[in-house]
Amino acid sequence: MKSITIKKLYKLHTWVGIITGILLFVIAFSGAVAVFARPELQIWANSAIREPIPINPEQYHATLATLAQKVGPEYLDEVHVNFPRARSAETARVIFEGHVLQPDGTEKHEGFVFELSPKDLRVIEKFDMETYFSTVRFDMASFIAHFHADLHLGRPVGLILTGLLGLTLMVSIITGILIHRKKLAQIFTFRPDKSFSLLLSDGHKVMGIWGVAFHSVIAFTGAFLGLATVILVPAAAYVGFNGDQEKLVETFTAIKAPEISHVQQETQISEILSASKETRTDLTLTNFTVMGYGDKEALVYVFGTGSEQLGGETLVYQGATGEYLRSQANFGRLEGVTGKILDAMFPLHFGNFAGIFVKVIWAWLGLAMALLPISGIMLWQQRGIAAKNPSHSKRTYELVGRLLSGTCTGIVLATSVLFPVQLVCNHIMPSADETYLIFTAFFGVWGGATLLGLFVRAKHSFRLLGMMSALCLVSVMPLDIAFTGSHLFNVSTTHHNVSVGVDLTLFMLGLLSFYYLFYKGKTAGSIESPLIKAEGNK
Amino acid sequence: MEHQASGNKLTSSRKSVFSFLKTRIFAAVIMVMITSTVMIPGMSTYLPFNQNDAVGLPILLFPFIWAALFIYCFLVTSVKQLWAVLVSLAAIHIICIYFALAG
Repeated sequence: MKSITIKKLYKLHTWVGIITGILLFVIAFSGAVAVFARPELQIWANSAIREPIPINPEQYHATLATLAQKVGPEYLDEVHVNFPRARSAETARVIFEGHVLQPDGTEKHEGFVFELSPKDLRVIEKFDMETYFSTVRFDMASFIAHFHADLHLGRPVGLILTGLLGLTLMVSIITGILIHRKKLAQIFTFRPDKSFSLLLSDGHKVMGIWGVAFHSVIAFTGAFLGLATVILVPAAAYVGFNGDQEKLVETFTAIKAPEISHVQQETQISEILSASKETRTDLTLTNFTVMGYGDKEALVYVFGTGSEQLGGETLVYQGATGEYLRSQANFGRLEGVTGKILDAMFPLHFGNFAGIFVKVIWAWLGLAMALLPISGIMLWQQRGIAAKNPSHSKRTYELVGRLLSGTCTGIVLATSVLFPVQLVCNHIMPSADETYLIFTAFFGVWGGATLLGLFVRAKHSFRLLGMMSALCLVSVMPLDIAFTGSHLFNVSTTHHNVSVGVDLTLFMLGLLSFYYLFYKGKTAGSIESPLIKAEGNK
Repeated sequence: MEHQASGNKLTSSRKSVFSFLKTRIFAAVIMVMITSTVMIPGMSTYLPFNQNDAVGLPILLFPFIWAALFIYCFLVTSVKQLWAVLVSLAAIHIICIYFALAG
């Protein structure tokens, strides 16, 4: 490759990294945390679902029959049930949906949503569908998951931004691969004790090269997931489906409506759920859907994860007889290769296809991805300051350093703060909506940290914000013990395995952070950054 | 470091790596997005696959097409060639879309 081409690629890699670096850190860091948002952090954040809740088929059968009587026959076209403690439900939730014909000939989907107590399926609250899905309500787990997806900027703006970041990450990866030609030697070169510049340079290359497969998958799937609904699907539907996006989505989704016979026959929910639990012990059932509830031709789709199918598996039953018909993948049942690739998209991005071990790997690699742009920006600073004819003034490099320190350490602190805030909210106002407090705590702390970083030297703001984060993390376990009485030594009776695991993990992370900031930070003084030295010499 | 601005070409005592930088940035940010987006429905008109793949594969290829065109904007030597390629790709696929919709 010509040297001018390498130079261009290097410049492109540098500037794409500098422009998108901070935002990429924010997305990657929140993504590393969001890997555990569902169901681990959701279980931790909601006391009612901390212990395992077995699925009682008879209970669901009886509850659906009662609620179906209440809503009436016009809302039985689709019945969606989410089990509690599953991927995204902190309560049991039932949606009754009817397809109401409008005067202009189109169909409008209307219905009711019931939130049920996770253990006894008692109705907690009832909403109409439109109100339910337009109401924003978050605990800390769903807050982090949504923040990662769209930065809480709303859709489509937030999704477009995160999708574009996926695209620019792909550019950074491709240019990075092309400019680092001596990759084989570089993956084993790591000299952290020689100089700060070498620490950054070697670290950047090692994290980039070793994680290139992961980073590429995340960049591609992230770009797809961000842009699919706002750009890609509308564009694809323009010709193939004459602009009808709904029809395109229907073609690709798994749930087919049966031919309604209008002959009433009880849907065998109890039998179907029992059969699913007994015959497929490899699956963790998360939700089921009844198409044409109470009709002779009803179909029941029971969805579960944990099988060999990457994106989960759907068991299909004849509703009136309980007869097992078939099992299918989500998109993989479709003709062609697209379905199989789509099935892999979500699990490969979220890392939720093979248990907690894979999630831990995904989280560590996500943190490495977060550190990549930061190390790159810091390298740019080092080289700029050390250059004989720097492109920018020392003041500019210092400001970038301060912005980096405040914003990036700030997001770590803001995320750490959410844990004690959630516990305090659960304790002080157990049934109230904590959404406003979660938002205020997160964005207030992040904004404050960013401002602090601008007025305080980077080294000091990093240490201060880092220690505050560590303090938040180590405080979670004692607070949880104080508020709920749940801890490691009574886990055999409470069965709060997940929440105690979260408490312990946060405690260990907090201790590790203190160790790094106190002990390692002092011994690293000999390789102090020239930027920090320059700030100190003022 | 001294700078002299001459139209879109930034010259300095230290030679710039990219010529017509502002034009390239505009092409990379705006025109590449338009071209890549137009190629999705356009490709579905001529890909020799079943309907699911003919619609689905262009969606899946979009990130690669975008990234390739973005990098191309800065690697290509001639800015005229850059615009010719982007405009041609967009125009060809718009024509394919037109004929597909017109039946």
